[in-house]
Parts: sequence; C-alpha cells; structure tokens
Amino acid sequence: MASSTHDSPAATAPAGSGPGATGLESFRYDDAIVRLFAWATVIWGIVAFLAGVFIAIQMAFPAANLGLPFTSFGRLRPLHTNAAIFAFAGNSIFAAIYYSTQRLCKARMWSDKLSRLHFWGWQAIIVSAALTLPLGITQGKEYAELEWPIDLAIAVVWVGFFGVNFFMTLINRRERHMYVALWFYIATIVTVAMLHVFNNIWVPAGIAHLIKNGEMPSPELMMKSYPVYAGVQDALMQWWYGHNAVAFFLTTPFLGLMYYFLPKAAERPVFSYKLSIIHFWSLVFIYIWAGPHHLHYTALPDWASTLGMVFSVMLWMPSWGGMINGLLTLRGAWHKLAADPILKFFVVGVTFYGMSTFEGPMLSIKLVNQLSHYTDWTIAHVHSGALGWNGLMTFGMLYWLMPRLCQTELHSKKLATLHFWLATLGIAVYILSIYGAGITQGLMWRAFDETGRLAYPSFIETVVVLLPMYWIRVIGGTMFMVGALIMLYNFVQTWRSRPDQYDEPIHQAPPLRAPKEDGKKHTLMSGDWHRAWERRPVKFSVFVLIGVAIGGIVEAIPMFLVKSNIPTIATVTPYTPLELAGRDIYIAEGCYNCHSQMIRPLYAETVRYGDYSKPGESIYDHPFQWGSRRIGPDLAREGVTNPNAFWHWQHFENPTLITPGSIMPSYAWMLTSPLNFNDIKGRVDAMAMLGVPYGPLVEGDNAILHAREQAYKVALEIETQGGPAIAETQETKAVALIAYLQRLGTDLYKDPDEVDFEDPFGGFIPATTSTDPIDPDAAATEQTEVSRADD
Amino acid sequence: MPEDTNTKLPTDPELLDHNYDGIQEFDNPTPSWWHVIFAGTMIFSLMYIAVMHLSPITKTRYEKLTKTEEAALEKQFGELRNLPFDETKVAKALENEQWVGMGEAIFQERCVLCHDVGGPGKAGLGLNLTDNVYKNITSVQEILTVLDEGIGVAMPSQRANLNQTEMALVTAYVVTLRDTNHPNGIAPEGVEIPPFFEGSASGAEPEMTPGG
Repeated sequence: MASSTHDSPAATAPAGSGPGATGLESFRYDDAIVRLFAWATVIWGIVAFLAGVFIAIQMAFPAANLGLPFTSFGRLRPLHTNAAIFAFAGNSIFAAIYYSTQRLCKARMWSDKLSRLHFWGWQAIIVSAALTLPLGITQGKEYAELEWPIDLAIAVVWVGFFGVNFFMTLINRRERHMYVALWFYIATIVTVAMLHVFNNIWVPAGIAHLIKNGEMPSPELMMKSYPVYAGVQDALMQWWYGHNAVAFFLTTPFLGLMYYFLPKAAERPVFSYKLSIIHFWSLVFIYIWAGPHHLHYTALPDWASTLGMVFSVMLWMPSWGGMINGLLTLRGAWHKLAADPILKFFVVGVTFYGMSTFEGPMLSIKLVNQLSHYTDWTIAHVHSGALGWNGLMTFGMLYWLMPRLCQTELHSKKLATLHFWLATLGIAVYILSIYGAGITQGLMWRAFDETGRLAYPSFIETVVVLLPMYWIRVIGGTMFMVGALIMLYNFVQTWRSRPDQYDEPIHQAPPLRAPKEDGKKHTLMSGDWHRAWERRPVKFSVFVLIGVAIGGIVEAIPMFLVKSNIPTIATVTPYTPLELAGRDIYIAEGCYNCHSQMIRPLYAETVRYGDYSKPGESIYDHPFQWGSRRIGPDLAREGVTNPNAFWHWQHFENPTLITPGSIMPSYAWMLTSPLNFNDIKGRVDAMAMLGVPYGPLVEGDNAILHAREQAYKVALEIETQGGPAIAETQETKAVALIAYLQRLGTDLYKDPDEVDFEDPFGGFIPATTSTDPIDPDAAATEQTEVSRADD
Repeated sequence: MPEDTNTKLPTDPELLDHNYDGIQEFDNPTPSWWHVIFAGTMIFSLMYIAVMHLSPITKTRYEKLTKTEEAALEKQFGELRNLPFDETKVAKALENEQWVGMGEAIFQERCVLCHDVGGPGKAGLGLNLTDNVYKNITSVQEILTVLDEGIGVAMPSQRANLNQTEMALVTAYVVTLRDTNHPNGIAPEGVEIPPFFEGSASGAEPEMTPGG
C-alpha cells in the first residue's frame, strides 16, 4: 500500500506551487483508504452470500441446521442480513464515498487518522456482529439486532469518525458547489445517525442489576438490553428505523454512488439537474413516513398505517426520478453496452431499482399487503432490491474502481461479463422461485373449501409445497455467489499486476474563499435558489435533517402521547420472571425470524389462529415480537391453542416427529441446557426500571424464587403427561421457554374478577417468609389440588 | 485535473456550467408523465384518506371482520347455529354426514395433537376416545362442558378456539368414535357409561334420527 500523505499544502506541495506563488493549493487523494474499503466489500460480500446460501439450504433441508445452537436458522438469519447490509453494502458505500467525495470536493479526506479509525472500527463492528449473533446475543429487532455495546460503537464510528471526517472534508472543499452525489451522502449520514440513535434507546439489564444490587452480572446479562419502547410504540419505532435503513443505507448512498460512477463509466453528462433537485428532496422528505406499511392490519392504529401507505404510494415517482436520471444519462452511450460489463451492471442495477421501487409502493397498498405480508413475497422483493440494485451497482463500481485503484488494467473483461450474466440470471432464478413461493403460500393461507372452512387448516400443508421452490432459490443464490467468487479471482489477478509503487498524482486547485454574493435575492421561482444551497453544506445538512425529522415526529408523537391509540386491557399483566426469561430465550434463538405474534383482523387469520391481536396485549413487550415472516405458524395465541407442556418439550426435541414435514430445526440441546436463574433478577430489575409493574418481585431474591416455583410447576406438568422426571427438566432453558409459550395470548381470556392485581403473579410467597429454597412438597400439594379436577 | 470525460453529441442540448471531477450536467425537463403520475399519487392519497377515514359510511376493519365472520358462520352452519348449546344441537349435527365430517375436520385441526388421528389417544397426553369407557364425562352434555370449560391441566378450554356450534360438531364426531376400538388405542381409563343417545344400539346414534 502506498504511504498516505496528509493534505497540508505547506508540507507536501512541491516548491513553487504553494498558494502564495500561483494561488493554487496542491493536494493528493487518499486512495489507500478506498482500496481498503473496496477489498472489504468483496470479502464481506462473499461472506454474506455464503451465509445466505447456507440458510437457504436450511429452509429446504432442515438437517443443515446441524443441531447446534449457533448454526440454527434463527441465529444465522440475522447474521446473513447484517452481513449483507452493514458489511457488504456498508463497505461498498464507504468505498464509493471516500473515492468520490475527495474528487468532488477537490480535497483529500480531512483526516487520514479518522479515515483509518472509521475503516478498522467498522470492521471490528462487523467481526463483533459475526461473533455475537451466532451466540444468540441480540436485541431481537430486525436489522437492529446488535446489542448495546456494539450499538455504542456504531454511533461512535458513524458519527464521530465517518461523519466528522466527511463534513470537515465538505467544509474544507475546493469546489464551490456540491454535486448531487454529495447531497445523497449528506442525507445518508445525517439520517442513519438519527435512526440508529432513536431506535436504540435501551436499558442494559446487567448495568441495571449492578446499580440496584451492587453485584457483578453474568457476561450474558451484561450484554442484554431492553428497549425503552414496548409493543405498538416499539413496533412503530422499529419499522421507522427498519424501513429507513432500506431508504438511507441501501438507497440514498447508492443513488449517490450512481450519480458519480455511472456518468463516469458512460462518459456522458447527467440527464437532468432539475430532476436531481426535485427527486432528491421529494425522496428524503417522503421516505421517512413509509415505515408503518410494514405494520398493516396489525395492532398499530389504522391512521398510522394509512400514512405509511399513502406516503409509500407517493414515493413511487421520487424513486423513479433516480432511475430516469440514471437510465437517460446513458442516452448516447447505449452502443457501448455490448462491450462494457461495467455499464451492463449499472443498467441492470438501475432497472432493478426501478422495479423494486414500483413494487414497494404496490406492496404498501393495504389490500395487496393482506396477501403478501408474512410470505416470501417480501423476501423476493428485498432480494430484487439487495441483489439487483445494491449488488449489481456495487459490482459495477468495483469493476470501474479496482483497475484504477490498482493502477493497472482489469485482469479479464470476459470474466467480468461472465460474472454479470451469472449474477443477473442468479437473481432471476432466485426471485422468480420465491415470488412463486410467496404467492402460493399467501393464497393457501386464505383459501376456503366449499363448506366455508379453511382449505389448508394445518399450517404444514402450506410449507411442504414450497420446498421445490426453496431448492430453486438455492440454485439462484449459488449462481450469484459463484459470480462473486469469479470477481474475487479477477480482482486478485488484477492486483497482482499492480505497479511496485502506487503513483500518487498531485492535484492543484485554488482554495475556496467566502462565496461571492451576487446581490440577487434567491426566491423559489428564480431557479437558482438551490444553487445557493449547494454552496452551504451546513445549511444544506440542516434542511435535510428538518426534512427527515418531520415524518417521524408526526407519526411517533401521537403514538406516545395519545392514550386512545393503545387502549389498555384490564387483565393484561406483566410476564412472570420465568416467562420473561423464556421470552429472552425466544429472542436469543431468533424465533421471531420464523414466527409472528400478530393475528390480523382478517377472517382467514382469526379462524386459523384465534382472536386478532389487540394493541393493549403487548404493552409489556420490550421489545415487541410481532415478527415479519411466517415460516412457521403465528404464535400470538399459542398459550390458548396449545398450552401442553410435554407437547412443546417433545416438539423442541424433534419437530418432525410431532409435525411430519416440519422444517423447524431441532432444539434438543435446549432440553439439557441449564437456565441461569440468578440472571432473572437482573432481567426483572431492568424491566421494573422501564416501568413494568413488578411489585414485590423486585425485592430481594423474590424473582428467582418465583421463577423456580413456576419452573417446578411446568416440570411437574411435563412429568404428569408422561415426560421426563421433574429433576431432569426443571432447571432447563426449555422449561422457561415453555412457560413463555403457555402464557402467549392468554391474558385476553382471563376473568378480571379472578386476576389479583395486588399480586398478579399468582401464589407468590413474600420474601420475608421464604428465604429458603422452594419446598417441593408445598408446590406438589398445590398441584394436587389442580389435578383433582381430573377425577 | 481530470479531463472532461463527457462526449458531446450533435443532438445534445446545452450543457449547464457545471463540472465536477469531469462530470457535467444537462438541464433536461423532467418528463411530463413523471409530473402527472406524481400528482396522481398525491390525489389518490387524499382521496384514500377522505374515503377510508373521514367518510362516516366506511366500515372499520373490525366491522368488516365481524361481517365476514357472520357470513362465514352462516355458510358453514346454517340452521345449526340457532339451536341451544346442548344435546339437541349435537343430535341435529349427527343427522348430516357433512356436519359430522366438519366435526372430524375440526378434530383434525385442534384435537389430534393429544388424542391422535381417529381418537386412539396418546399416553400421557390424551385419552382414548374409541372405547366405551370415559373418565371425565357421563353424557353428551358433559362433553360440551369439557370442551367449553376445560378440565384439569391436560384438557384446556376450547372457548377461545371454537365457537359453540363447532364444539357441538366435534362432540358429534366424538360420539361417533365410541366403540370404534381403534387398533392403536391406549389403555382404557374411567368407567363405562350409558349410551349417548338412549335407544340406539351403540349409543352412537340419536334416537330421533329421521334420515341420517
């Protein structure tokens, strides 16, 4: 790697070319940092694709879960999504931004040190994600799974290293106006920072435990945190974040990338500056409102759902503005397409952008969403965006960039063209099969026979028919991955023919003095108002921040302040300590990746799963677990429809034995894995800190005692039903998870007269009288009373 | 400085005075269809809000659900729905093979986890329903009560899963299971009880059966 030189004219400029002599400043661009990000993109891309192919195989062939905790689908799916978004796409946009920003600003990045801290900090975050997610350390919110210490690191690296470096470079630029690519970079940095911070406000359970009890928490508890939001509010915040991660991590920076690299590769001017302005501002303003379309027909109030839908529909043309500007920039360059793999990648990438930004608004329409939600249709949609738009645009950029960064010719244009065809056909095979799977399953879920009953009442019938399509998906994904491996080979060969020493040309430009004011008043109609904004990076960024803040504020504030949005239900009480521990296992295992907990008020759902979910039912759900995909059935009323403890025990051990054809992995290890009862205290303390009314359970060791008592009851139930002896089950994680599942959805059917609101945790013995461990005989006596009813 | 990489074609419009690292820009007008569709989506949005949220005659999603449910129940159960929740409802259901079949379908959805397909039972989970001894019930009426209220820890109330007509249909199917003596049936538990419907040979058929 070439040595990096600081952008200090006095120190680096050759004699006679300093500002004093000619009015010009000399500077070099830092391409070494771009090389780092470019290679990281290639490597992490392959890791993300490999993880994707692996979990795709698990869907078709559950034995590929290998029966190990850290290789199960529920833990690896977040690894795949995080690797694809934050490692592959993340490094890709950093490579694009570091290369183009320097050239568009005629300035080296402000600080080489911050550039390196950004690079190595980001890679450390990726590595920590790759370690923690398979260990089940997760916040359980999609694309925001990383636990609180990593969240803090992301904030520091994104704002403190990347943001500061980028904005200081803008401020110290030598180009008077900011080009459209920079506008999109600004929107990216500002908005992602806002989304990340507000969606990740949590209470770390370990810290809460330490403060309250002065005891060191276990490492597992130390890593655990609960969001301050619960239920409906958490869902709104999460999808405000989740949807705009798509918008401001996978769309705006890639539009910026397109605006720089596409005209460069096509050697054509950008089609329309006017269009750039109108589609930039309409896109950033409208996008932020769209999040609630992920929550149609859920317990989210209908007005918020409608806002999410109509703003998604209005987003269609702002998105297509980017596509038009990309495709029409190629006017006059179409003849090059046949010979140039880079332009091929860009054209198909932009086309995929157009397709998915038409499909997105369509899917956001409630009636369409009724069919598509919880099915593979969504998976097909995101992959046409992620593989087609983010993937192909990244590959196009890398093929343009790598020879320039390595200062040599690309090793093989033929291999690049082969990569293009493998990737494009791979995407086609992937998405067509998964569209088929999604629509098939969606239609089966809502099909009724001639007597008016569900045509496919058992869920498994709607799963087994998808398996052929899941195998075809594996083929498509493998083609895409093989293409990326060919790219890796091509780049390694290119890199091997690099010069011994990279040339670092010196560039010259006059420094930027205070902007010349022309004395004219800039009004909206005079046409050059935006030109003035382009001279003011700070003002521009503030306007962007205001633009993206409005939508979130309008949707979030009423949800937090207006009580009627979330009517309370008298019989809904907090989870017991054991159920809470079980819930944390549910989250850690990533059960939410395959099971929703949200029955929509649609007859096909209420008849299959039970009464629809009410907003008041999830007020103690920190975080909410409504889910987004039903690879398995909804569990919102599992405690009502299937409370049988031994059934669950056997089902964890071997799902296919209970449900032939089930694609759920075996969780046999959970039947022997011990539950850490001492941690439960910290979990309850953290929840209490968030305002969950735990009453006497926060005193002393009450939470632990209560959990042991309930674990004993569940274990007794398993034994009574013919399962293993109490001693073998009552200390296991499975028992806690069963307790949680038995509770799900039951509160709604309780008689308010029978709930003791002073002590909703039934049968709890105050701390003063029960410092001894639970007396099994006492608990057994109680159990006998219950079972007497059998006779 | 990098060269301008942009090629100029004779048909090109005038370039703007913009040059960023060699990238230049035209100022072509946005296609008119773009404006038309954009405005169209805004008008659609306003109309959608007006119709769905501001109009007094538009039903909420919950009202729509109730209506759909009502229609579906009428289609499935017809005259059966209005009978009281007791033996008469079960007797009526037994008149019609299609209704008993529906009871079997519900049994398949909700009961086979513990009682297994055809009702032989599963050790520790659910009783054998195909013999002639019963542990928790002595009459058709009590089958309904067990379904409605549940009994003990193993047999949960089905109130949240099934409506009363559905419980009657399952009961009808369970009545027909008596004395079928499933080959995989688990050991009998409980005591022999009188026929479900007096006068019928096995007790499986109600006396008042006119034609079914």
